[in-house]
Amino acid sequence: MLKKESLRKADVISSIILIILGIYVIKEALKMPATGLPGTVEQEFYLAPGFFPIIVAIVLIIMGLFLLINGIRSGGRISKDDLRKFVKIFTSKNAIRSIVITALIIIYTIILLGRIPFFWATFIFLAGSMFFLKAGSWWSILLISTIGSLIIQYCFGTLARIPLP
Amino acid sequence: MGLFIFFQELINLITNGQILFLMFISTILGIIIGALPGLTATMGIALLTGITFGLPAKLAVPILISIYDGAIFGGSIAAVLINIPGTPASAATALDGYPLAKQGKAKEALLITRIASFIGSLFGMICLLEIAPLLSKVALQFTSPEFALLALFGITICGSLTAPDLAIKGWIAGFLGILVSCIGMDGLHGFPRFTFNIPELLGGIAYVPAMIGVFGIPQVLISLRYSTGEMARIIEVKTKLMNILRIIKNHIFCVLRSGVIGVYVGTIPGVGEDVASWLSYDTAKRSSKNSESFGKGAYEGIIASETANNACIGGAIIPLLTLGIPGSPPAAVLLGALLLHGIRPGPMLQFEFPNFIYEMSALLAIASFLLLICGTLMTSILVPILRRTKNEILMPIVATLCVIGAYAINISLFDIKVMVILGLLGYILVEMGYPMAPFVLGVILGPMIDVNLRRTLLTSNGSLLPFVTRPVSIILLILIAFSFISQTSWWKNRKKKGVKVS
Repeated sequence: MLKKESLRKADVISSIILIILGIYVIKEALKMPATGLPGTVEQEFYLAPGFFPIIVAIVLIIMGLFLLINGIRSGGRISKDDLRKFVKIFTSKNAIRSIVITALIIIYTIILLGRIPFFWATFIFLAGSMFFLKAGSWWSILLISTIGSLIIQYCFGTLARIPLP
Repeated sequence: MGLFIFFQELINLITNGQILFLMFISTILGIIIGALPGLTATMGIALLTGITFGLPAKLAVPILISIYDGAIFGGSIAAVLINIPGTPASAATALDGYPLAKQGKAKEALLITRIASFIGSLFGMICLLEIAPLLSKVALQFTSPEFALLALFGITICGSLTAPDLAIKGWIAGFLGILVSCIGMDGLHGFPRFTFNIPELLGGIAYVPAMIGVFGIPQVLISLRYSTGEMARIIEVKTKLMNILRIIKNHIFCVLRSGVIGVYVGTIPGVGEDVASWLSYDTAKRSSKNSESFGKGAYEGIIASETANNACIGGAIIPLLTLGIPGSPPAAVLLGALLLHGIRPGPMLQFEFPNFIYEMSALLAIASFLLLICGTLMTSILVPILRRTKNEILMPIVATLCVIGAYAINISLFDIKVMVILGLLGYILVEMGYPMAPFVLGVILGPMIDVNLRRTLLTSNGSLLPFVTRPVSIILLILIAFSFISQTSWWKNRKKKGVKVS
């Protein structure tokens, strides 16, 4: 979790996103027809499919406003200097580890799986992640990735009979 | 009569070799999951829910219960041996467990945690057996307004109690979960909501990919942010079982009190084993004659923490089965798993599956005994593993298991994408101090609020009176209002002033 000072700044950003999300949900929900139950002629607003999402969105907007006010009161105003710090957060060594692993997960799940056989996709992801994280010597990484992929494929594909992608 | 059914179920399960074998393996797996830092009971159950989806409920439920019980105990192994709590539930155990290990009493400490966990699990099971049927009778009086308010209460109280930063963030997480649950065809009309013309979204967001995503992916990313440090050396000294039993006997009052605390905390929606263990540890320290020894290797400390966190399991299952409201984050995942297998926890459970509460109690009893056996087996095996396994090797494998867990439910690549997107969203939210347990509760209980709210309005011609005229509804409304008000600065200042005056 972020430090307390950064948290208040993050609160300001997240509250604005929440308010925008709430307004978007209300806009979309209002487009949903206010018809009654199938087979009936009732046209009450409280039966409309958009009724509940509107209530949830209103609650989110109210909570977002509370969070925004609290964030600003607790020193969460965002300055130009904060933007520089924000960029720095994303370029720190620890953040780069998270970003690269996120990228590898996205490549594995969205690009590789379904396009190449499961074993090779998993092997590439495991080996790539472990190489990046410097988990050991190159031969141990290749060995662990190969054995790991084989065990996973055997346990789930063969034993549990899951048709792997 | 209830006790008779319980023993009947117990005998049925014990004589079923297949179930017993699966529970044995699952308990071992649970202990491994719990012992490996970074993997939690919640994540373990979420993963196994996906993987065991293809199995019938009579096999999948015992597996998940064993994983749950094993993982909560497993956390104490890492806490004692390497001072890294395997699960948040065992963080309090590390305070005295690790100093004991440094004094050469690692095996002694582990044996105590094992027996304490066993007694805790059994205590929770007895409470489940005794309290759940009574609560079921009360729950039978619930109708649409009560169900809507009960689900809302579960989400708000969970938000209040699990938020690491501000309580409002817990509520926001819960309402975001409810919003996610609105995706797909609505429960009354079958009208597609927020589907963006994507056919896969018509069926809504599946629980399991959502659960694996928000619990698994943030865990993987957070664990990998820092490289694994040096682990402490483990001291191994022989110990006698009789000595351990004597220690437990000398602290029997602490054991019973911790059991009660564990069950009580477990019954509060969304509050889990970690809170139970800290509360019990704190109570033990305050009431102990040797409070100064806490943190330096007090047996009482590890007994209090481990009894409470395992007793919490039975406690968390009580509201899960009777009201359909899970008592802890792992129980929330368990709720998703039960729903997936066609078992709908709540007041109607006793009609649809009359013996289910007794079956669950029997499963918990068996899991407790297996924990004692497997714990002995696994402690010696896990010592070298814990010393050698690096997060850099473990976490990519965990990420792969998350992918399979999400995929296996519907054999759908789309579910993997949902898991990843919600996982990344979860990571950002966790970093910003939003808890994930209320989010998951929101996803699961959202449709319950939506349908019951509109059904109430339909039967009352749009009037909100049923929410304020029925006794249970009024109580629930007061509780919801209190869960909000108790978090305001006005209430907290008032409480502080009250303490000063007294």
